[in-house]
Amino acid sequence: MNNKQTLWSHAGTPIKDLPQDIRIQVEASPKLLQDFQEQANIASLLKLKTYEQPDPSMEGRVLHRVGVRIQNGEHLRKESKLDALPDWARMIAVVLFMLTLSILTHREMLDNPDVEPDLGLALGETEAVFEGSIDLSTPLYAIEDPFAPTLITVDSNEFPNLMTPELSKQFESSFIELGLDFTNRNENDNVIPVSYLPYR
Amino acid sequence: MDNSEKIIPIEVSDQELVLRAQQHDRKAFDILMERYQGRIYALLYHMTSNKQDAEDLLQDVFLKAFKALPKFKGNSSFYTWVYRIGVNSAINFTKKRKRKQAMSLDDLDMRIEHDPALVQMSSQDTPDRSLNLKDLQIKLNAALQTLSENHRTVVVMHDVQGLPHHEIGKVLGVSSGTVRSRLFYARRQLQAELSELPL
Repeated sequence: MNNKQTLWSHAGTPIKDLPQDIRIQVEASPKLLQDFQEQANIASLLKLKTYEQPDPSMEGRVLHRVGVRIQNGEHLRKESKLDALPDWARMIAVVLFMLTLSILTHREMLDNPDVEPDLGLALGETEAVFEGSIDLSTPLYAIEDPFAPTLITVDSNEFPNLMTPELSKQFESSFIELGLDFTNRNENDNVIPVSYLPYR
Repeated sequence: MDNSEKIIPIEVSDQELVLRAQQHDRKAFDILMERYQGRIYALLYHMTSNKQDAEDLLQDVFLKAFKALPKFKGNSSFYTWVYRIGVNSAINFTKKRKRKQAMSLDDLDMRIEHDPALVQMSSQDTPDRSLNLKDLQIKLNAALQTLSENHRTVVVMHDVQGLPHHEIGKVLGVSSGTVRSRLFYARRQLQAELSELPL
C-alpha cells in the first residue's frame, strides 16, 4: 500500500494503535508521519465533544412533547413535498408554476399574435349555439322610408334661405314623419325620444 | 390490564418492542424512544451545535419514526433505521438554514479535565496559547459548522460517535472509500480552522 492509500485507510488512528507494518511505514516517512499526527490530533479533539451533555430534563420533555403531538394526530397530517426542498428550489417551483399558468391563460395569444386573446375561450368557455333562425328578409317595420330626403324646389338659382318659415315648416314635417316633434318640446328634457314608427 | 398499564421488562428486544408498537402499543414505542433518544439527540446536537434545534429535531425524528413504523420491515435494526431518519433530518435542516445560526451549546461534563487528549494539549500550551475549556468548546463547534453537510456528517458519525466506516457508508448510501476520503478532507479543513490551538 502506498503512502496515500495508507493515510486514507488509517488516518485518525493514533500511531501507537496502528498495525505493526503500517506503523513502520508511517514512521519511515516524515511527511506521512506529520499527516498522520495531524489527522489523529483532530480526531482526538473531536472525541472531546462526547463530554458535552444535554440538560437532564431534556429527555422527559421530549418524551412528553412527542406524546402530545401523537395524541394531536400530527403524525397523520400529510407532509408537503415542498417542505423538504431548500428555499431557492421552492422559489423556482413557484416561479415555474406562475409561468405555466401565464402560458396557459395566454395560449391563444401565443398561437395568433395578431388577434386579441379571447379570455373566455382560453379559460375553456364554450360559445352558446342559437338553435332557432332569424329571418332577415322582412324588416320589422315595413313602412315608407322615414329617412327619405326632403326635396326642396326653388325657383331661382340663388341658394335658398333655409331659415325661412316655409322651409322650416317643411323640415318640421320631415322630423314629424320621423316622430320627432319639436313643437311641444320640453326645454327641460335632456332626452329626445326617438321612434322609428311613422308619425300618425 | 390494558397496554398502558402493562409492565414491559427492560430486557425485551427492540424487535419485540417494534412488533408491539406496530400493534398500537404506545408504551412499547415510548420505551424505544427512551432507549435511543440520547444517541439521536447527540447526533443532532453535534450536527447543529444548537441544543434547542437539536431538541426540536429530536421530536420531529420520533414523530416521523412513529408515522413510518407500520412500513418498517426489520431489514435493519430499529436503531439504525431511526438513526438514518436523524441523519437525513439534520442534513435537511442545516441545508435549509438561511444563515449561520447562533450556537447554543450544551454544558461540559467536568470529567473532560482528565481526558488524556486534553491533558496532553494542556501540557503543550504556552502563556500565549493557554487553553480555556469553554473557548475550546466554542472554537471546536464553530470549526465544525464551517464544514459542508457531507463532511460534518462523517466527522460526527466517526470521530464523535465512533461508528465504523462501513456502517457510516450504509447509513449515507456511499462506499467506505468515500467515507474515508470525506473524513480525511474534513479533518484537514478542521486542522486549518483550529491552527491556533496547541495541537
